Amino acid sequence: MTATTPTPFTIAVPQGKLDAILAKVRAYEWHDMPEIAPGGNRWAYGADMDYMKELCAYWVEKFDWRAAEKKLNAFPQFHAELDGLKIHFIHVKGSGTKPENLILTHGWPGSVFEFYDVIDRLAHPEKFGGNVEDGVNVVIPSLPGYAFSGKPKTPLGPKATAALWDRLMREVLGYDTYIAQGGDWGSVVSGWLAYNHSPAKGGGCKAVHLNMWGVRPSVLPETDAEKQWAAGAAMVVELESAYLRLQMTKPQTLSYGMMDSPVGAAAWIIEKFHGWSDRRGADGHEHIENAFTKDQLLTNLMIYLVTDTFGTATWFYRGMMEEGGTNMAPDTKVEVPTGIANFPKEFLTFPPRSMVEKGYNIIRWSDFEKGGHFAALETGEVFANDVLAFVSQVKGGAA
Amino acid sequence: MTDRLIPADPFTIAVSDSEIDDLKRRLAATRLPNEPLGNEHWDYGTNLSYMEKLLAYWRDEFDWRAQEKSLNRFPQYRATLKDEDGEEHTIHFIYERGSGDNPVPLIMTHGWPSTFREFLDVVDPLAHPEKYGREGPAFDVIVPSLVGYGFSSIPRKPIGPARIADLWHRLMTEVLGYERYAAEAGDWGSFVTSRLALQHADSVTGIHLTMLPLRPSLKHESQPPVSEEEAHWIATMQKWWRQEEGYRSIQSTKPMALAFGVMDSPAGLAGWLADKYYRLGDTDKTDTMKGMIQRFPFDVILTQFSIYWFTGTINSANTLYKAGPAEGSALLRPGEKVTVPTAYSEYPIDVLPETPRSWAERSYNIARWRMMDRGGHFAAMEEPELFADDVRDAFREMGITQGR
Repeated sequence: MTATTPTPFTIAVPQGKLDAILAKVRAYEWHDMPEIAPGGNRWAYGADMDYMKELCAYWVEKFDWRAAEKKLNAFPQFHAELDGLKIHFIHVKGSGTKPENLILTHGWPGSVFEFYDVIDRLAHPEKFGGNVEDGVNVVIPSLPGYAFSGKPKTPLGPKATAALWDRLMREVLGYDTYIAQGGDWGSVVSGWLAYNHSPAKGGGCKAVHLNMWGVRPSVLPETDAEKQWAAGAAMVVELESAYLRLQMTKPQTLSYGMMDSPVGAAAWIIEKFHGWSDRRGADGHEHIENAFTKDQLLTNLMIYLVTDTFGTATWFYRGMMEEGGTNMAPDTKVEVPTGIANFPKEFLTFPPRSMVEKGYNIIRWSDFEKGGHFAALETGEVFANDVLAFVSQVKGGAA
Repeated sequence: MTDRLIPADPFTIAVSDSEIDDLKRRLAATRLPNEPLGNEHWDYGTNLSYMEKLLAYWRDEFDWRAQEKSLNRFPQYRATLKDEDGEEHTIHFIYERGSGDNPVPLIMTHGWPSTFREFLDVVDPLAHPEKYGREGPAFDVIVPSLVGYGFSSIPRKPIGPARIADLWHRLMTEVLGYERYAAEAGDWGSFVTSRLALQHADSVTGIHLTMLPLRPSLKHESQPPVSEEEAHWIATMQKWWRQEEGYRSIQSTKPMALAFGVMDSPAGLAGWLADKYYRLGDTDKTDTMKGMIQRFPFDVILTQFSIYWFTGTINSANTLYKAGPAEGSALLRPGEKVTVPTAYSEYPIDVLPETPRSWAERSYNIARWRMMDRGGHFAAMEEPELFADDVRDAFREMGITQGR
């Protein structure tokens, strides 16, 4: 059990790496896709060919990785080693005299970039009309096998990652207690932090804020509303979970094409940003760019490509399976104060509050009008304000 | 014989030099993934060391021209058929006339991730048994490329086995002029062939399958209760399938999430497909590298992959998984059953139990039942001699020895 002191880190991708990626994007030979009736859903079979063409044209002609890199480097980043595994993280000290500590965890196919637009809001709320004393110390790690973190030798899952995060916060950064936040895998890691690493269990996680239904109590749906939710969730799994089934069982079989083909990886990832986001526009039409700009989509994607982590990122699914899934032991729950942020276009929806309460000690439940799976990136201000309000509740001793 | 209403044009495979150069260039620029420790048994998917060897061979030693010549050694044709929606499908097929004056017409259909190449080594032994010192029957051998595969055309939208079966029937009758014919297949080919037997029972004299895809409507009164043996077999298959079905899940729901990578990267295509050969082939799994290469020599497996690559059909081939379930043609209607005499030969896949005959008899008129002791999912490639002998024996035992 060793942990090193953090060393500062700056992203600086060699030009040759960028050139090699762009050469393949430029040389892409477009092919057929199944015919879609006029007015039909062009994403019905996966990624829409027309949108991929448009995105790739932008990628080679207009996208500026160096500008993206500059934005990513705008906040202090570090590497620390935990048991030989390098962990990359952003660390921004909050305003105020006694900031709380907050660890935010991204998921797949996201990255730390999801949180870039909320970092200042969380650390320095006074800059946005908030109270200076609400500022938090912000820690945002890259998951093992993702981005600028190291690649584990075998798949690691969210439970193992939570154990690493607790040590990152306490041993490496000296934060004895902290609040965890996450969506997607981040919600599972954060859920395990709250479940396995609470102060009562000798850890430092004293509260948790979740924007996806991750670690679940071992209960069956009981009320009609719960049963209705379960039926809907099963349908989503049937139609939307193929990537999960594959990444959980045979990540290596997928990785050859995705590591070799930047456009291939783009389609695999962008299809998810399309499917899981709130694409509703003011004009009543849906479009992926109502949720994200091309620069945002490509910055997140390029983080996978420049670090050669498409493959190792998918290992996380297998890691989850190997460590036994995401269910709590029967008759147990998360005891620390919990905030739930329920965004309307989340594809893996929260069950009714009655069911969530069987697994969590809920002190705050927020239903929003807008936003999806990538809430911090889609609707940063709303997301940050909810997190800050939750932190205040925890600080004020609400329970 | 009936009148031939639709012409077939002779066809020869001729990939251009520039396409071959392009493939080699892409292989040279391949960026490989890393691999979890402990993947010697392909537990996380396609093994990296195997891929490194395979891709180096594809790039440096594989001689497409030699393979092309071998693929071209039997007469091939293409015929264009218009379907009920007015869409034209161009069907590529090998057509080798059998010895003697009355050979049995036999249409043999491959599946995924295979091509018509699967049957290449059994065409001659089935068409000309006397050359191999074997008793008849001799067959007129017809080996088509599935719609969306190989040198057949890519459909505008994925079409499933029931519709492909109607095209096959027209290929046999309207293009080739047969009134009655036999059929043989495994994998997706067995879906097509089963549908052929259901939809054109008067024309199909008998079928030989190496996979049994049709499922009975268990609720119907004609169906006896599921036996203990059947229940155990179903549970074992389902458990295995949970581990193996990732590829199917993707291809049946979001083929266009996968397509961009496997259309762009020959390594991606090979990595995606090789997994199935390892898993379903009768490979020696003690030394997995040796076992895989012995079972599927690089020249053989790379010819398969090269056909997908050069024809640009990996995506249209994958989308058969979207069309098949959408068509719902694998589930028999209550009381429905294949009445055509059916021979079933099961080639072993190491981890799977034998299919209970009682299960097969719910959906098929089983006239001959064989459990083979070697040869896997790609039996015609893996054990061509054993396979050809078994097909010949099966039709002879079912009394199908004459074309007319």
